[in-house]
Amino acid sequence: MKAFRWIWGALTLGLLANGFRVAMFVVPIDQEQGEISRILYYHVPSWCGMGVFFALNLICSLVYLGLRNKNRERALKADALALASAEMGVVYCLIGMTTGSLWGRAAWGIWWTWDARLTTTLVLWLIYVAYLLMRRFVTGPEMRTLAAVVAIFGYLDVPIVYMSTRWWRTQHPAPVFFGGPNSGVDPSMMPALWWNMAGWLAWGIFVCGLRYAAERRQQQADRHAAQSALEAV
Amino acid sequence: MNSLSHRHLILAYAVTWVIHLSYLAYVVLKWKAAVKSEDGQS
Repeated sequence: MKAFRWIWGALTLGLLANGFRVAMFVVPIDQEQGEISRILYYHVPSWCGMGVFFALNLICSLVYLGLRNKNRERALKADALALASAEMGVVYCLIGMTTGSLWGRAAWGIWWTWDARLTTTLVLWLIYVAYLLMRRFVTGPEMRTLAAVVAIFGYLDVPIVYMSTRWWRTQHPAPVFFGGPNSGVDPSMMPALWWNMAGWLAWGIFVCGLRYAAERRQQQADRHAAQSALEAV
Repeated sequence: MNSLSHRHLILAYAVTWVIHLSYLAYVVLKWKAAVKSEDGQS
């Protein structure tokens, strides 16, 4: 497992290094926006990463709720993965908002505006930060069940974020991908996008795997501590 | 506009790496804490 982790980490760094090279030196710049358009190659993969890890959090939360009274060990594994994926999703969401803000300042002249896409995304980020804070500070046997329920309700905002640029036409550009006949980027930009998408997704899996392993160890340490306390009584 | 574009592009890439590496450092600390508490039990 340790060797696999190292191989995966090396592969991830290779993908990211090549992604950076292609984004900076291979693909041509956008005619209208110039150099700033290269933010796309970090901005879009961040949103894809966020979507993947929040979806994983939803699946693990559902699995936890389904198994918590039937198979405690598997339920705890699902809960550890739910926590790891929520943290990873929050990180990607934060990067998406930050890179978007920097792009917005250069392209529109503003850091932030309360348009539909930005507002729903900020709400989504706050929901998952609240989820993580709840996990950190709420104690008791039902904490995990409560967290799983919050995660399911929290995920309801993800499709709203995705559809926001389709439902409401405000400041944010119209959907670039899957947005109809006139949407999409120039084919020459796609290699940079694919390399960075693969690289950042591999990075997310690598870090999420480490976080999951750490949480599992913590769960086992907590269980041993509880058993020792019972034996001492 | 051009120098602003360059500055913001560099900043966006740098911020992405800083946030990712900060989170990785947090995960490593969590890992070490878990190993330490597991060792404490045995």
